[in-house]
Amino acid sequence: MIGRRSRVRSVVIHAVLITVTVVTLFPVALVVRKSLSPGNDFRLSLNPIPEKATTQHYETVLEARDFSGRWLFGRQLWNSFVVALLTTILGVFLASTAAYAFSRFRFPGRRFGMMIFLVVQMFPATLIMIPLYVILDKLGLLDSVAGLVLVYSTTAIPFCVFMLKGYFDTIPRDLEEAAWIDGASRFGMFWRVVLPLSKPALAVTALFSFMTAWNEYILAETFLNNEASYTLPVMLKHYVGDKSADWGAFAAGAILVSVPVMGLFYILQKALVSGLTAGGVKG
Amino acid sequence: MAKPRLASRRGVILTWLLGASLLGVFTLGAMVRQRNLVTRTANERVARQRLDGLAGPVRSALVSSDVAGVRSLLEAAAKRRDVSEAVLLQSKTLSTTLPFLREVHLVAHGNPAMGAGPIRGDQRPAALSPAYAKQLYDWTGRVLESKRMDLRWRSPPGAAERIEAGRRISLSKGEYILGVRVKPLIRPLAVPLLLLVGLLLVGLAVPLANRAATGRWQWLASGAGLALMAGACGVVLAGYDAWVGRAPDTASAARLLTTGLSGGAPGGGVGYVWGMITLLTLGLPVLGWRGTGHRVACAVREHRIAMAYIVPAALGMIVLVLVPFAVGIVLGFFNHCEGRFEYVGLANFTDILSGGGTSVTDPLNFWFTLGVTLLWTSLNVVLHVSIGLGLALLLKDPLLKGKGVYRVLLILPWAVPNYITALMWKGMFHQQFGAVNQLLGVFGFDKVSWFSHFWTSFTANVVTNTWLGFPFMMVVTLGALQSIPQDLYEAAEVDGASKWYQFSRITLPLLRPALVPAVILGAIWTFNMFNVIYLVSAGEPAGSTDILITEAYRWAFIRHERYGLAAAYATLIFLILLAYSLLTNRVAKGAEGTFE
Repeated sequence: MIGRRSRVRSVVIHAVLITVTVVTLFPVALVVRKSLSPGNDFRLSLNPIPEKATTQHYETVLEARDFSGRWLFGRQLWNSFVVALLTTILGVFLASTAAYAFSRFRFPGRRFGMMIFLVVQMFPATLIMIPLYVILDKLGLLDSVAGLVLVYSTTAIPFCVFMLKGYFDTIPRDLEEAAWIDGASRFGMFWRVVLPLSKPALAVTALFSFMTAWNEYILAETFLNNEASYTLPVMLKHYVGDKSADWGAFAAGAILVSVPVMGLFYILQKALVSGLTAGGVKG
Repeated sequence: MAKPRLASRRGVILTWLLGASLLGVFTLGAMVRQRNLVTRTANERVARQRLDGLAGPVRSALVSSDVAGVRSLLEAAAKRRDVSEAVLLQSKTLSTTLPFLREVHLVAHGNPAMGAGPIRGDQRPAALSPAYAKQLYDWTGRVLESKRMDLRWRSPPGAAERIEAGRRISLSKGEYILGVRVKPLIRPLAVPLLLLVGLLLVGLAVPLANRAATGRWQWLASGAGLALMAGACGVVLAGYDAWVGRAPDTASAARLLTTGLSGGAPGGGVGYVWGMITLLTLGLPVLGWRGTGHRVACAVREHRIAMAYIVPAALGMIVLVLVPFAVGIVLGFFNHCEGRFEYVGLANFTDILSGGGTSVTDPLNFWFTLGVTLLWTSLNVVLHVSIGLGLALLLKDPLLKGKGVYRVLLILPWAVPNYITALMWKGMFHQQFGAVNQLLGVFGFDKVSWFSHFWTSFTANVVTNTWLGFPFMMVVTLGALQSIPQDLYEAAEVDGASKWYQFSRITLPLLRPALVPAVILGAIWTFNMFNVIYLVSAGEPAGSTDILITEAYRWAFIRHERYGLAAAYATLIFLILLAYSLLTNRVAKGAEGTFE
């Protein structure tokens, strides 16, 4: 009797979950299908396997050139990569020392400083986009990798500080004290003890900053206006403009651009959840 | 104690050096880039000005077949010191395809030495000299490729820095391209601005370090140090002005410094900058006398190791966040019109808050947008939490098989970059080809024009955002559910508590500490979910589905560059968010407190 009830119950649960999963996966399946089938419109088909497979959309995206013959995809890939990498380096480097100070020292302005970082982390960069735009315009940094890195760092630095502070808090101080007794300097404790122990956290933080910068769209769209200096998200958006839309190329591009970072996301998502919620509670 | 302290100083210096070199390299790169860009845009502007000045007279000379007049106009243009070449080309059939370019003829050239024969009567224009032909082909080729009436373009990468510009003139007889090639200008750079800021910082750092190192009466030295630095700034500015004075069409350093915001009229702003420097110079000794400087210095000295660790990031935040933030607040008091900023006091804020003469039901009204934003946020959060919670409860079932598979598949929407999600759903809501309408068609419904009514458009946004947002809540809830001890349920079971009773008295209260911060965070994310609104509905119809943040963006970048109004909008959004986070901070603390 109990066995039968629980079997019914599990069938119902499976049915609900399968329905939800199918609904969830459907749009993604559509994009995959579109990227492989000919034509530019975004038609529905309940069959997720393309009837006629073609790689033409991938070729369109990969071989796009502007009128002076520059290889756009290569340039945009390079732009995205460089922006994301520089943002990550700047963020992690500046944040690691600050996070260490927040975690280990008590100094006047500590609470205030942490509050500032928290507030900045919560509020989107879109809020200071207008002044940033005006400033970058005056400095002649629009349409450049340097300008975009500066803009992205506004979100990367506070994020990195919080992720790293959370992790540094979990490293027992005894280790540093032992190093101290062995004659290590303050900096030595940080450099030789804390940083090597936090390698996993550093890696996770770095990868997350990289991913965030890689996936950012609207700031790049606003600050860049030359096709050859676009990052990949801007390029993708421009495949489906208001006047002409090439959904095939968009789908192919979306897959090329997002599959690597989605893989990364799956590896990292547990760390992200704990980092985000911890930062939210502890303040 | 002595040994570690010495060593720590070395460590601090190392950190500083690393940070400084990183910032230095970065600034240097930015400066070089900026130099090129400023030069280029300035040259383009000059080219455009010369063209605009030339196009009218040349056209009227052409209309009256006054070829000698055209020629003298071009010659006059080419004699200007910033123009190296001015040409008029003719083409019978101007087309974007290259073969037609072979039929382009040089009608007149600003430089008589280039010897292009002018048209006389029915005579054909002179063919191009071979040596010159290739260059002009390339030059005009780019005019034609950009397909616009007004044209400008850049020299190919690697070529000498030379800006070329063209303009098409259509006449009944045919079409002409008027071209002006501009000599590169020496342009003033904003480098002195950076230098000045750097010097000021050094000027501040020197006396502070001085204070930190030794005892009293050092404030005099601080003041003197700062005065010295201010003097150095003055020398830099003067030297810069002397250098720039030789270049044509440039602004003075002081003007560059002050045009940052005032956008034009020099004068007023210079006073502010120098006044501030003077005040700082005078103020520091006063502070020293009052003992404030001493206290600050003591605090810095006492916590100097902590300070050394915090300073790189703090400087970064000041430059990248606090300065733009302050500029943003100041911008809110200005009105921007065609590159100029003009002080308007509180007008932007009153304009926004009073609705600017629009009724509350008007999509441009602030209160309407605020209402839409709040509805959007609350609806999404409710949907995210309920779907996430529901799925988590289903997945929690200990007897369930294939949990991992479901979990991996269900967080997929979170992994997809959200701009891709938004564009994908935008495509699915397309009226003709969209998957949603096709699916409705399968069930016999009519096609819905999703983005032409408020509610359908809003629904499209909400559907997209729900798809994108529930996995986060699901994952958070799952994590929290796992930490609830199973014996609590067993005990409740023994006591005969119903499932609902268990859920509302055990599950929910124990989920709260994890859910509250997630909800707070989720609400802020949704409140600012720019990409979904901007990419899915794009505010359609008529801006009614815009939320505050996209509305601010529209004022700045789509509707006539009203930066001032947009900045005021952003300030208001910031205040709302701040109030919200202060409020929720209490709620969160309360939630924490209950279970501690």
